[in-house]
Amino acid sequence: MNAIVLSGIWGVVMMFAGLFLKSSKQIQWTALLGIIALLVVSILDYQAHSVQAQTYFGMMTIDVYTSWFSILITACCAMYLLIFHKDIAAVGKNEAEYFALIFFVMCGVYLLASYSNLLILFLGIEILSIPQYILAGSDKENIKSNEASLKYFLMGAFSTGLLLMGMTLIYGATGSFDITSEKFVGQFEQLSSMSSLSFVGILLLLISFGFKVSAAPLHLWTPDVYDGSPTAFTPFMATIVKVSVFVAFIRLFHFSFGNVSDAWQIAIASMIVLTLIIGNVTAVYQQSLKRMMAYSSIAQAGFMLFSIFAVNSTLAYKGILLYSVVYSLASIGVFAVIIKMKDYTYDGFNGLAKKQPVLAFTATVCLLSLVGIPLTGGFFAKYFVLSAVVEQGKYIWIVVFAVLMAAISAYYYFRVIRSMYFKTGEAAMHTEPTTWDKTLLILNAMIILLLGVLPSLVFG
Amino acid sequence: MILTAITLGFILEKVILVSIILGGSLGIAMYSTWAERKVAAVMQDRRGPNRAGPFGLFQPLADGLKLFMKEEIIPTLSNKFLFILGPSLAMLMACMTSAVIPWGPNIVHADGSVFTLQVADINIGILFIFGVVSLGVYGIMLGSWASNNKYSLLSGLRAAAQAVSYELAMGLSLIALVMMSGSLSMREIVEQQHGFWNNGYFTWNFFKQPLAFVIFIVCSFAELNRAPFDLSECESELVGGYHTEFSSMKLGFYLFAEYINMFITSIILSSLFFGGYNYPGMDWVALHVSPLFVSIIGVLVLLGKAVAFILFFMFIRWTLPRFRYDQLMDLGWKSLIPLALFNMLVTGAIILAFQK
Amino acid sequence: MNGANILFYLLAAMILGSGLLAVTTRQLFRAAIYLLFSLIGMAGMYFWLQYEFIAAVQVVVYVGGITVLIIFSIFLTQQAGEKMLVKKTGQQIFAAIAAFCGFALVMVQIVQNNFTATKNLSLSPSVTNIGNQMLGVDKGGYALPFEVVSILLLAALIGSIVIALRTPTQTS
Repeated sequence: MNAIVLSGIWGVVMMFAGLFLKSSKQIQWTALLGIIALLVVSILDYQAHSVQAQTYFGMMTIDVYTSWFSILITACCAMYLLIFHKDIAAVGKNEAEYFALIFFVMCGVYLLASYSNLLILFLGIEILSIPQYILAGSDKENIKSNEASLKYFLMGAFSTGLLLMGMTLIYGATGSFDITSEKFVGQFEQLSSMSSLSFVGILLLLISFGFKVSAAPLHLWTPDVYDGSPTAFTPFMATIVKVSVFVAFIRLFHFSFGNVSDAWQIAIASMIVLTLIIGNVTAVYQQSLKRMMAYSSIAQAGFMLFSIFAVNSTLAYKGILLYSVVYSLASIGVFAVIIKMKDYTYDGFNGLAKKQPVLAFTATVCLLSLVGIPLTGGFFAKYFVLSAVVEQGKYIWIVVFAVLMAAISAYYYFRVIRSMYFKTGEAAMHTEPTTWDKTLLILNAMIILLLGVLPSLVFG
Repeated sequence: MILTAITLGFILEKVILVSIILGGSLGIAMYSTWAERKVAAVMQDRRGPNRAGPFGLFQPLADGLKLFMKEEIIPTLSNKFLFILGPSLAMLMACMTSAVIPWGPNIVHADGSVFTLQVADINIGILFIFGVVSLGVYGIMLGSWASNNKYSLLSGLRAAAQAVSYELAMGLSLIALVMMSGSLSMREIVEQQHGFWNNGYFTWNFFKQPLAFVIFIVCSFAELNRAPFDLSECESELVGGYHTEFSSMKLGFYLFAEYINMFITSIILSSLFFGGYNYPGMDWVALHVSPLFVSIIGVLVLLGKAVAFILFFMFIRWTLPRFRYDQLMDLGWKSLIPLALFNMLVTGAIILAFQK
Repeated sequence: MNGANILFYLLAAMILGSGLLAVTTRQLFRAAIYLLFSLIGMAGMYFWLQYEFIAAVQVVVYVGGITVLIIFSIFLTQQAGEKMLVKKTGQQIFAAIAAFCGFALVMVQIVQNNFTATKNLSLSPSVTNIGNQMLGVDKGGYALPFEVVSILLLAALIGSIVIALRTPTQTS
């Protein structure tokens, strides 16, 4: 709860920082101070809630799982800000406002992790989305950035409409927004007694969530938005925001709709299949690394959907936690290298290993983790979400299919590594990485490798 | 649901009341035009209208007749439907606000039945007024856009921006008032200002919320599009503003709607801040005259206050120069809204302090 | 059929009719005006239900605020008076089918569902009750969402300023 309050307050603080602090450096330090404070507060929150769950105003329930996830996601965000704070400030004149918006997004993230009322879910998703529309369009003179913002906004508004319609139908069937209330729980006790109104409601919610996590066939906005947005903000959207929507997704669909999983599992299954095919196959044909990462984020969302598919299994919860952290850190690591480059195409990376061995090495670790090679965190992340499905015993063929798709993904991830190590070229840099950058990137890679050996570190 | 309790007598009562109110406001608005000219004349050391009837009193009738006789022109390239809708909406919205105003104390008949001098005592009267006021801008916007004229369009833009900006400050200033009175019903707010002096306090809201009153009256000028805020029809820049292309009675409607609005705004100002139909010593009067006269005196007092406000509006118009557009926006957003918020905060704090 | 029913059908006809016109008209400005009438109809419907507060809020916010902004932005667009292009027949057919399917899906479910009327009406729609509920901190109070909405609005406000603020390079 304190984290929610602090993130809201720090957004306002950043706003005033833009007014009173003159130098860009001071503003950046204020933001870093804020995220560190947020991390500390969320750890304190975790200690307060580790014994028993607490309900606030009948709107939010904070339990161990929630507060632990809050710590992890804050840590990821801290890593993101530490690596990218200079690039964020370089996007435009309103750097303080960009940081403020990021803190507001964090507020939405905490809400999404802890809601127990559909109203808060809706507000959380909105707080998450609206700053993103702005961040996507923050490079105002770049027409691609404008396009990204507008496209994201229009599509996002539409999906919010579906979300609201779904909630309305569920409210019509249950008479309550509170997902812990008797009426709500009673409605979703078993499939036979569930009214058909809730069935459509669940379907609409599923579509809306699918849009937010960019699952096919609702992924069409993703490549353009991730590609068009300033490179400093793309990793934020692709990792922290996406992952927190997954947590909201899993919270609703496992805790509330878990007993009626027969109604929606097949829809998720088809989403997974489509997402994996479209994400991976299309990524193969990309020439720009940034766009490839956009498709890769679609493909990774396909894997994360497995954790939603495997209802009420502890492995799935562990899987989504691990996947969130590993995927976020790996994507941030790759983007941190991309943003240093002048040319985002594969050829632009030729010979990077000779010129910047540290960057090439950390990027390689991150890419290997995204493929899911053993000894990196990505392996265990994929292992947990897939074995959660195997444990269920149904739909084993999807797991086989997913492994096949992971093999395809190896192609385009390895292509980057090949460019960096085995091709000769100039690898023109946009900005030279400082020692500080390199230290952070190595730290980032180390965490990924550590999680590849000891995945239980993120289980709390 | 709501129609179940309606009887024929009730409908008849309301119909009579509505016709009297509408007729009355039209009459007052008509003579406001005459008063405006006279005031302008006094200010500028002229005589003003003095040909039609004694003191030019028939001038408004002559004006009306003239407007009716004029040729009706609808520009070929205009959007005809909206072109006609514009002035009609302006007139309709001007007349609608009067529904929730308590015009006088209830008349209690000998047999105990009560005749309320209010068309509808809905418990959200102030919000209703806001709703209608916010609709008022549509008349201008539609008419200006439909004229297919650049001056009109600019004027419509100005009117819309101005209305939206000043509505905020207006609403915020009233929130402080509502916080104090604890009700949104017009009648209740007026009843709370009973008399003039009670237990060592002034009862009128003006003395309790002077800042809210100042903000409200400034915003009223803006909402009425009257000088010094008549940016949407400033003739030196925009020819005739939104009514450049209008002629005949459609033009008359626009001009007339402004005067009706001015009258209704004056009534609202006197009801909310200056006690409505309450006046000093009203309890003494109530003991000595018949109930019917008590009501009539109340109505007259309210009208008197309204006339005073109308004159105030006119004095301002003929003394102050027009604002520049950016000054107008600065005043609205950077002065009035913060002031209104501050007023709200102080009011809330005082209410809390007195409760403890 | 009593007076209340007649009023209901009139309001419903107003809402649906102007809504339909708003989406079928080919002039942008007219679409906004039809939307305006549809929203006024909604306010009328709330009045009919005797939810006066919500009705007034509907008028103030949607009719007096949002639609004014919509019309304002239409003023600023070029060629607002021109007729919009007609979509290709294929697109039209597909859109009609999609809209119909969505409508049918939701409508069938709503008609089939047995809504049970609540026995204990927890809230009478008076302004006092709405205020207490809105800022209540006990279970069922909406203080938290209320505050969260303020953060949301603040974020949107900052965002719109960031988007609208002129950057120094553009002024030259």
